[in-house]
Amino acid sequence: MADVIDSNRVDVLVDGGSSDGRLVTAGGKLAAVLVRVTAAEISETATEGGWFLEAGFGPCGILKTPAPDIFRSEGEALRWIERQLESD
Amino acid sequence: MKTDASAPLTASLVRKLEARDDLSDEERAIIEQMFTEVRLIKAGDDIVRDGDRPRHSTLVVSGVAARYKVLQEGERQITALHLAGDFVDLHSFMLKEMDHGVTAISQCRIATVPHETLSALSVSQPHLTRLFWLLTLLDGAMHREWLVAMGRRSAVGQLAHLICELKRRLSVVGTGDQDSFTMPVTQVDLSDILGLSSVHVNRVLQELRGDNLIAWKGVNVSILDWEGLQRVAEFDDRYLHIVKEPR
Repeated sequence: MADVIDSNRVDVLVDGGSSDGRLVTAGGKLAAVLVRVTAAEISETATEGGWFLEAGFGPCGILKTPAPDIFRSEGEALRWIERQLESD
Repeated sequence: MKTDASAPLTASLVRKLEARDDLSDEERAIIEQMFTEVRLIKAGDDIVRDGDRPRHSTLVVSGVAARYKVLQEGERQITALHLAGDFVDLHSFMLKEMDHGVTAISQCRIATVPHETLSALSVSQPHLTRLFWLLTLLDGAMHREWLVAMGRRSAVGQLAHLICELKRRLSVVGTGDQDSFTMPVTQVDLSDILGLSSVHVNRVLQELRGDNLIAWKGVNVSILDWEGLQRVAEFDDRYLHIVKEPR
């Protein structure tokens, strides 16, 4: 059975201040840290904000995958994390 | 990028070479005459494609071009930036098949020299041939420096280093004054150059701005603290070999 994925709010220290983040665990183990980013924090051409994979662990880390694009929603990010864990 | 319309197409290339060695009048005349075709390439269009077998090598007369490779999933890595006076594929003369593409980052004015001309010059002009060899060696030196920066520098140091390099290269070919230049690369381009996410590029730019080292607005880059920027970048321009000596 797949591990239960939990997402809990956390303030993340990023350059320039603190950001709304999520600590994502899978079966109680830390899998990823997500940070909410505005369009302006993504690039000068981005039109909407989203969620950035600030850090990934295990199958969500750089050993297994190049950095994913910005996720449009927290749900999309969590589905990506789930897929990474399943494909491991 | 500003270019003087009355200047010969090859003015930047000549300045780039003359920063490293003297050219004879004959060599300068040959360089001016060897390019046969001049074209404008739209921003975003390819100048040379991966897998092509070009029969000429291409010089950037004005604008900014980039060598790049694309992975299966579409991730792009830019491996070199080319400014006025740079050949984008002098190596295609010897390598024959392109193992990477070259794209126009901004609109580029380009000029091409047939490989058969380069072949003939390699027999009749040994010194000029060595200088063309030097150009490909400078490409290699910059690749090494980028690789070291990408692998081992902090993200802030890496971007600071790139800005230092661009300033020095532009000052050699005479486009851009001491403390400001135009650089039409987007943050997405920068992330493909640095191998960083665009979010990280954004944060790095904020950091460099916040420390009053640079200002980057649109395409205008201003260096506010050259000493400080070099310190952050651990910049040493030896790898650009801007030394005039017999070669």
